Amino acid sequence: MFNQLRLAWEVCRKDLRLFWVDRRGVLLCFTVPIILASLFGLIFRNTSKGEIEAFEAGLVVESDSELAQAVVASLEEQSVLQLQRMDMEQARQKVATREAPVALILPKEFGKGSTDILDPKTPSAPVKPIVLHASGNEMQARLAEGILAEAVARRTADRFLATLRSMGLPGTQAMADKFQDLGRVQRICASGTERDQAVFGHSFCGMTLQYLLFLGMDCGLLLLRERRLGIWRRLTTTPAFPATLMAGRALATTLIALAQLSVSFAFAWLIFGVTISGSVLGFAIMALSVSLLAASTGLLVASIGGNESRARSVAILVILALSMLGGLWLPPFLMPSWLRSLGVLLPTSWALAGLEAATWQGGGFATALLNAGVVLLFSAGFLVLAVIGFQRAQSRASLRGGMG
Amino acid sequence: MTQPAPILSLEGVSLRWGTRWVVSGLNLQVHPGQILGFLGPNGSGKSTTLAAISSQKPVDEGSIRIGGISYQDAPELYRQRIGYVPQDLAYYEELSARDNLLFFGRMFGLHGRSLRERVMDALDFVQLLNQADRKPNSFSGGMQRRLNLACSLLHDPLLLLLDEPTVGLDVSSREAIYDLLGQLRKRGRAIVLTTHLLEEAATLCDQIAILNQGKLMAHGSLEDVCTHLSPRGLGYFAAGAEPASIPFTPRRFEGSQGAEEQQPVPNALARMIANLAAQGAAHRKAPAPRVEPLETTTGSTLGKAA
Repeated sequence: MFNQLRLAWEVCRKDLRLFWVDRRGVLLCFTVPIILASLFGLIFRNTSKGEIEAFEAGLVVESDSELAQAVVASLEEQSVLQLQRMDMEQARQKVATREAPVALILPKEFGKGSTDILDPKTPSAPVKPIVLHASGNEMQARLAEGILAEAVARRTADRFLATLRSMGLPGTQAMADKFQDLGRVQRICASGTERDQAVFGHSFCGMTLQYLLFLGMDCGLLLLRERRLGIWRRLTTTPAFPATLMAGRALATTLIALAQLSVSFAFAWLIFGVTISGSVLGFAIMALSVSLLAASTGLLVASIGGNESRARSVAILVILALSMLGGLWLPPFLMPSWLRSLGVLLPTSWALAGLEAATWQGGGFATALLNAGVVLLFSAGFLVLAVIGFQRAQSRASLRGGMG
Repeated sequence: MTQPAPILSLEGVSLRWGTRWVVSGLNLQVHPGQILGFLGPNGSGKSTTLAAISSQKPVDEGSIRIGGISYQDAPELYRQRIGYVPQDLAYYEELSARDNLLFFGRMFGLHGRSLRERVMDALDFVQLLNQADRKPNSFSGGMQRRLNLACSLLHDPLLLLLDEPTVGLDVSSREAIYDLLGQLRKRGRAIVLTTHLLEEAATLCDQIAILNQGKLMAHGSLEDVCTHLSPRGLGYFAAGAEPASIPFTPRRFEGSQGAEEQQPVPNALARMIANLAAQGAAHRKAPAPRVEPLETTTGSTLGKAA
């Protein structure tokens, strides 16, 4: 047993040496995830500031009601929609050709009799304003809808409260003031986390995890290359058993992954102020478990993928899917709810949750332990499947190549 | 004079892939200082037998022993006694010749000063001492083959297994390999190789084993194999008959089982035997090398761990 451990360590040392001799590869291995994470962070930093980029919107005002004028005035005060007055036909054309993502329409009867709502004799339901948009511009349409709805509601309330005040009845003034206050919303950030720490924390956790999986893939492919070159055959005639050889490879990948993760988070701390706000021990456990996950995922892909080129294609597909569905690219709230539910079945979701909890979310040791435990279970399962798959692949290869 | 105990002995070895038997009832022995060459067409079972001897494939029936122990008895010790040289250049191109040897030496339990000395000895033996720190992708084909051989010599194995050791080499590089194998034979190592080259078998091997469809068709020295072919078979060779029509009766050869009946010989094998017979007639085999007992080689460069 001790001898097998020693041999696994020798394989690990050799793999570390092979990694180190390719200096350019080492440089890329450490810098690429940092560059990717920084870019993602910089992109999402702007959106998280509440600064939504302004976009063009057509404005069609067919109504000459007082409310319509007030709504238009209100819309002109905001800065998200860059309004351009046009007629209905122009609006339809601009939206259809996507020159403008949306057009806001206040129809002819809009606002007529709006103050007569309390009057039961009012003939019909009020005419609604319209947001016109082309398919694919749903996000802008929703934003425009919100802005328009707020403008209409605010101006309607103003007019209603003005009517109330004008009645001059005792207490109506105070009642109107209180009612007006009801419409004001207070926004409070519940976590004490700095905004940059949250944004860059997420991007560094996600991008580092994704890149660790690619690192694992490369290490798995190295195994297939050894098989193609006959090195694996030579190694299996040494006193080391196949499981020992794979354990050595997994250990080397884990150590490289740990180094990569440490460098990435050190950079994130130095440049973007991403700190380990939660349990330091929890972070260490998470770092170890995600590194093991990278190693085992790589070996699994190598074992089921057949030859190198096929394995690479399968691996890229699997890693990109795991990254996207696991929320490594975008925060989970931006994804559909069914996709978020699916995340429970993916190791990347647990890995991300654990790393984020330990870093910018300030989670405790118990949170990290739970996530690390699940990630380790996935890793152990992957390793077992990898050993079985690799032995089967080896038998098939021997069957094809060993008949001479 | 009593013959020393065999280093390699195969007793009734049968091997299968899945449900198909690819080698059946093989009995062979290789003594210290002997080279056994497996000859046979593709699919004859040569490489499968080599895979079983090197413990890469389990033995389905019978037993294989090296120095008296089987893989089942002591797997690590069994492998410690083998030096396997694959047909492919099985080393790391990213590492220098020295670093490759250091790694493979460590995989056989060598370390420290002893490992470093063995590496230098091995490099010296294969004449790559002044290339130790170069990467093998800058080597010539012959140098690469010699490095491939050196990677399997560090732990001074009792038995060296070579899968087509000179494939793709020019004549001079091939002769350099023959010379190295000859030196190892003089040091009392047993060597088993597979080859397609009849010249290689004729020049190098003390024993030739001709396999066909997993059965040992002929076994013995080159002269034995040629002389003991059935008279009818030799007559056909002499008459230059079409190989496919040559009757072949291998019953005289030690080690073949269940081959009493006349067997049809496939074209490729028949051609091979015909060539072998022709070479046997022309070949003046050099006197058999004196086999030094193992204990006398312990002071030699590669005999230190024997």
